[in-house]
Amino acid sequence: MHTANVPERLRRQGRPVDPHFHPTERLFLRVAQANLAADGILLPAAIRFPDFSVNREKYSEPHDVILFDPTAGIACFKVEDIPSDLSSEHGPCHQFLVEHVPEDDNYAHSEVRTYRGGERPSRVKSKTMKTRFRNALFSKIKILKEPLG
Amino acid sequence: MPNLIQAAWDRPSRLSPPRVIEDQRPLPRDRSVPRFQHELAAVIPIRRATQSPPRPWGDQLELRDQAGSVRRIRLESQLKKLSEVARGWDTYSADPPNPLALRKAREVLAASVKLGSLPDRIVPSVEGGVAVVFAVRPHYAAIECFNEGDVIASFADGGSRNDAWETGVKPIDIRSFLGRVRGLAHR
Repeated sequence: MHTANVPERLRRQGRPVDPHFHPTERLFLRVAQANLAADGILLPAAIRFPDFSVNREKYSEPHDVILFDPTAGIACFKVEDIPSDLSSEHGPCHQFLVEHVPEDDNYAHSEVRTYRGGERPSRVKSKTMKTRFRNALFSKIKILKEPLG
Repeated sequence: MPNLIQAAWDRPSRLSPPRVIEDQRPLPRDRSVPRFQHELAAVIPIRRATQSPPRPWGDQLELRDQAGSVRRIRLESQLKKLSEVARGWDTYSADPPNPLALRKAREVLAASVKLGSLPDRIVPSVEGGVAVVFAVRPHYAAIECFNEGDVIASFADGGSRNDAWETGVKPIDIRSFLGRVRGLAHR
């Protein structure tokens, strides 16, 4: 991290965790060229599971996610786009939440997290669950800036 | 010998085939048509007079002609490039596809070529593996080959229909997958 280049809005500077997300608050993430389909659609293969990092709109600008990788693209979705839960016929139900996880040089840093029975599993074995989560979210994701090259 | 002259007149001439005037101008970008068809238009002149409107979604899976050959070459090239992908290719820390995932993706492609139903594109997965994408809009249909060896087929319409199931990579599995997604798309 080139700390000197971090804009003031991203510095934590002792600010507390803000657990309140408005349903329409946007969440930003970086995307690579390899996962874009025609017409700038982000494919499900670009979405991590069970947890992945995003920057929340309340404390950042969209381009903050590419601060140290200007050639990457920017995608976004709203808090309300995250499926609240997914159940499978033979497995347990999984819940999905976004949580504010500020870092010293990125106060906006947040994570979309997966819970099972109230606990965060380190990994989810079910590949079908993984796939269904990504398929549920991908159609909501918008590309704000396409990657270069 | 008027009858022989008439017969020669009626017989199609090998020396002077019927003239077909082809329109070489680039086609306008139609957002409802997959991009590969436009890439194809740049390579193969398309007769404007015989150009049909965009085909229904299920038909997009069928390409047995010259268009299919160009698409197959492009897909094989995409798959080959995936073996050169480095860790962190997604700007985060994604693993590259491993030889097992690449081999299974190659088998999925070979089976789909055999069935004449080519995928739309082949991309790396941030979860480690290869996604063989058959359609994106209006319905998403893909087979993902994970580095751990699992092969998962999926179908989603952006609404209530969101299915994922384990599958194989043999032609019979791909035929079953295609039949199932066609059924779901037209339900």
